[in-house]
Amino acid sequence: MGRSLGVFLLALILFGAAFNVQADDEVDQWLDRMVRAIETLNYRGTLVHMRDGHVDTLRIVHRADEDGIRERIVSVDGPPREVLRDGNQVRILLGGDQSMVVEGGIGSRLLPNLPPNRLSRPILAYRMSFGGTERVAGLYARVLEIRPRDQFRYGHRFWLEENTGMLLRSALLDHEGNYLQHLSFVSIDLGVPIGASELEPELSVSDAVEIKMSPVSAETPEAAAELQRPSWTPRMLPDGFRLASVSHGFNSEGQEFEHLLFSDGLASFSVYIKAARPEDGPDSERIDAIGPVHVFSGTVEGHRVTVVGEVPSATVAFVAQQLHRRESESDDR
Amino acid sequence: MTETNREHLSSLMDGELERGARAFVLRRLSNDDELSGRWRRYHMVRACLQRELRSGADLTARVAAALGEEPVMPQPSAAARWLKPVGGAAIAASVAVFALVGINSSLLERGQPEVLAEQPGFVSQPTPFDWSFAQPLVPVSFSETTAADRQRISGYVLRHNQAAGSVGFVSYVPIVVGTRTPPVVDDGDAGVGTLTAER
Repeated sequence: MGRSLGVFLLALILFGAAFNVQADDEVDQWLDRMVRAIETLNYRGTLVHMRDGHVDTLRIVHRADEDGIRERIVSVDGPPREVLRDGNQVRILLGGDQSMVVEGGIGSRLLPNLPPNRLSRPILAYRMSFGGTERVAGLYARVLEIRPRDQFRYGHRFWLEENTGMLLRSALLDHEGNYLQHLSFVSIDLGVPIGASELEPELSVSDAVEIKMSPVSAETPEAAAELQRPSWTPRMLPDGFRLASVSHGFNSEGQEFEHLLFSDGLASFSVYIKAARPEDGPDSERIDAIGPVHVFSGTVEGHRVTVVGEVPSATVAFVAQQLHRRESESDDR
Repeated sequence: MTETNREHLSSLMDGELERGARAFVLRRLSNDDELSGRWRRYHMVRACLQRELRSGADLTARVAAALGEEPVMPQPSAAARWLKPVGGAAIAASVAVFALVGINSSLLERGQPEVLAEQPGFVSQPTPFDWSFAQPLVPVSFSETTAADRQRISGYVLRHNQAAGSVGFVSYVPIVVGTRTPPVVDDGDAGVGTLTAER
């Protein structure tokens, strides 16, 4: 009797585990479909971005063909600005009195993007599950819930078009499930031909200031271990975050800084360290917020530390508190 | 624009509106261009009175303001290693960084972790992981952020965006939206940040 109960329980546990693995695989497949759809489909549409009661409207045109990926995003509200993308090269046009063009390789995208070779399965730090089916911009979408397992990162909710996996709406949520911001298509044409003229900028910025951003040549942790180990490291990190790259750069005043990038597969933050100078002012600690992006500034061991990421304020503060300088080469990672 | 609206706006500036009216005016602000334009002008006037021009109408004014606030002139040659300006626009380039990211920053200051000391013995000892959450964050005014700070933060945000695209979700929403001057109220109690916290 006891034995059969044991077998039954074991079967139940195994079934449960298998079911979970299956569910995780399904979530993974949908995330892959989403990323593929966002990159490889043609579409044009209007998006609204909502945060703190502010609404911004954006128009997007996206084309993927044998010539590569081209994209144009136009802000309809506020000061005129356009983002033009050709592969990884991004050109940002700012109109108005302060017209300006900024160009460079910017890895981030308006719609979420995940690299094919993911650093770690984000599943470790999040619970992922499917919600129901909802209608967004006239299309039926499956709702994918990504809830963080702790308070050190935000959650996501994605509305993915049933047939293609295209992202129709995304929401950023805090640990309690409160909405922080929404990005949602209000209208979208999927799989339509996009003419070359649609990808041409509307803004004329003939006499604009032109700025070229030099690429960030970051080492992967493996390469960094051989070439240049990071001279700073946090004693503890929130679960799931791992060092993704190490690089060096110079700020606008010509001072060198070290740049460490950490990621849990979905969320990421950067740590910048530079030597403190008297001109930097008092050693005050502060946190700035740019919507859900938090920036911690403070001083650690005579160095100015800045931690930046789309993570809760507690995360940037925690990481900064944990930073310390590596003593010697024998110091273990 | 009615007289009532103007009165509401100026009461909001002075932090004299009660909560319901405040929510109403803030809602109107986000929908009414004329009203939000006036709101910005009020703040501009106040900022000018306080000798702090926060949102220059044109780039030259921004450059002048930024240079005035910075004791050290950025060295064009060094700046060029991060941002390569085309055609000698080096000074404008350093300013450009924060025009681009458009920090609608709300500055948070950390309160004292009083609660920790008063915890009864049976509560498990807080670990460093709890520590971050034990200190409340209090929104304070953005006006305390200097041009140099904004420039540093924008540069770092931009670089984070440049580098992080390959490791997870990083949106350039901060770049595409959010150059609007936020309705930040200088008086601590009536601040929009406080309002958000109450919700």
